[in-house]
Amino acid sequence: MRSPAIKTAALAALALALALPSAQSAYAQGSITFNEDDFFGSEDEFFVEVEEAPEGTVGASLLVYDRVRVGGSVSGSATASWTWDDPYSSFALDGFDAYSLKPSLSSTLFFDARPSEDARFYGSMKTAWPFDEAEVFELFTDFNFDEKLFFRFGKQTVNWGVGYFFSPANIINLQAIDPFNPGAQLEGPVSLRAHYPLPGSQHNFWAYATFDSPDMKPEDIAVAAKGEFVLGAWELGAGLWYRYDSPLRGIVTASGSLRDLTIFGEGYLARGSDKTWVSAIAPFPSGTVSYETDDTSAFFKGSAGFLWSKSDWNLTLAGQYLYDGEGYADADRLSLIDQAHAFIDPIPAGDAKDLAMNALKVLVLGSGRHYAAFSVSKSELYLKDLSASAFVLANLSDFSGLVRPSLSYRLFKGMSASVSASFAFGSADSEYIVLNDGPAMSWSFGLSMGTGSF
Amino acid sequence: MKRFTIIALLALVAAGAAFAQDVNKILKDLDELGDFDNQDFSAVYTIVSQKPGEKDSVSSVQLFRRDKKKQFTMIVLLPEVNKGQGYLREADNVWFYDPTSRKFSFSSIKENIQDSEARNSDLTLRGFAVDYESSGVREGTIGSIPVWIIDLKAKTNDVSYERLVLHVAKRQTMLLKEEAYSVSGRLMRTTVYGKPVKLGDKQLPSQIIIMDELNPGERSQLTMTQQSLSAIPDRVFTKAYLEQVSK
Repeated sequence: MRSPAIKTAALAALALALALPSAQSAYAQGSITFNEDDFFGSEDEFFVEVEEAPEGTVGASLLVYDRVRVGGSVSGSATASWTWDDPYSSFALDGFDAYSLKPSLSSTLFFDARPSEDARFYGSMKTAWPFDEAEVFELFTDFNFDEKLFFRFGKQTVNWGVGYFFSPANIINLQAIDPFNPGAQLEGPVSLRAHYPLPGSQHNFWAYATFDSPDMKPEDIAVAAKGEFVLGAWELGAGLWYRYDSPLRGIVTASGSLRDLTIFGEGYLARGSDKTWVSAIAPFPSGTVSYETDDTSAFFKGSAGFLWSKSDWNLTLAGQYLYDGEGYADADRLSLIDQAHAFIDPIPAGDAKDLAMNALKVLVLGSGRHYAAFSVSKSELYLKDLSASAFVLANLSDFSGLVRPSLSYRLFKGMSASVSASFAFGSADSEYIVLNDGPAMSWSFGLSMGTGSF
Repeated sequence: MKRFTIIALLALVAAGAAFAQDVNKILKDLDELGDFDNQDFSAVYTIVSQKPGEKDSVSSVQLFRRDKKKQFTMIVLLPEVNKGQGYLREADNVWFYDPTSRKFSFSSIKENIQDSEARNSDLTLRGFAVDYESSGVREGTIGSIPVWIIDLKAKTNDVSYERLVLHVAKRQTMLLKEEAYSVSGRLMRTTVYGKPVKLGDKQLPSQIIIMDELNPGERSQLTMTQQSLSAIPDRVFTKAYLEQVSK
């Protein structure tokens, strides 16, 4: 270990050797230069003058734009993939069962107008190649009453949950979190939101009225309210959601920290469910599927997880467990899969069988009651521009899952290359084995091109 | 001779005790200099980060402080990809707002700012006198400024570094240099504080250079502008404000 004095002396000597101006006790590196005499001044000329902020602008300057701000992002990539459905029984490099090349080009555009401190108008649109349509993702306006009650009306994201990979409390958004892309913004409904931060505290109260369609009856409005309370080092939340003729739903959330570990948890309780369960599948050739619903039973979902990151090590870990009370009981799920096989197996290979297998995939997707996800990611791995990550998603009810390690290297600003693999594991007829047509292994090579924000 | 030795030892002990009191006063003075107890403080910090073999990256944050209530709001102005990210801190609780996902989440105060060498704690209230105790003092100079060189050892685990060596200007009490060491005694970070400005009855550096000693050549320079002691509206220290100013 070198001492700072030795280091300073070495740098000063280097500065002398390079004949930098004012070389005594001075060094320069890149654009950050440091000259002790200039930097610290002298005892007689110790203080300097620096431009101060104009009076009356504190806090307000960020709320007003003198022109409409337009921005967005463009994402471009091309990914080639090869998949072996069952590489462990017989593997040949050229024996892959499927391969593909997926070029992708997508964009988000937004405008942000802030003519005054009390008014904001924001909208964003998304489109992707082949540009069949451009979707309005957000369109809302912000206004407030006396800077105490803050309103937002329009199509907006409503994040009630605190979970990372799963969020049972996410009951207002139109989308659920994708565990493979947990940081993505979720699409929300058209709603009116009122937000009241309790003065003198960090407690917050939120009320919502959400609208499903431009043509509806007054009784079709859903109303919801949530309170967030800070208790020591924890933030606790509780909310209720109600719509006539729909299950009444309640949620609780908690998040806090234990040293550098962020911990979070959510609970969901509803009287009844919107879900439709498969109750029976008739054998071949009928294949008739029977369904059932439940408007009266209590359904609980719960989740807990952690997030840990160490910026000095460029390392982030995240893990979460989910209990889904709307999932099938293990015995019911296994029985239904057996019934599905009794219908599918006699069907001759072809489109009809593929269609039936796809129906089975829909049945098993998310059918368990216990799930877990874990990810580890590290940037600057040995090389400055090399990043690595690994992600595991598992159904703990049938012990199946998917492991996805990946490596990414930034070739230069604007282009990066990546290689990733995907391994499905589990027993026959378990969720991730059915979804992946076996204990599949996939390898993907991708190029990200020109992705960025403006 | 024996009597003389005892008197000399007593004198040394007494001088040491007096000096320890001086050191405690210097540490308290340093804490008070950075403590805007009854005033709000706001400023824009521009952070230039330099890593070998890479182009310099420039970040900019708007900072609001209300030390009386231990409140702190920081809004990222640059780079464009992170614009609108916001941090809200009250006491030990920190919320981070990500405009990309429109989500609030708790975040550790020890995290670095925008991938620079600077930590959030570099811009907030510090407590040398509370968190550390002196283990030695000597005299020295930085440039042409005579300084006290004070060795500090952490009293608590809630600090980023186990040991600090401070270089404090003698005539105008002002921190000019800080060396931060890990538990194993390894020099982790050197920070120099320069070009001080007077703001009301406070004095604070307008430039800070932070050198990562573990990764030679990696350094960040923080430059303060638009500093103000004007009152900050209460709404700035709310989640509502973080949402309002986000992109």
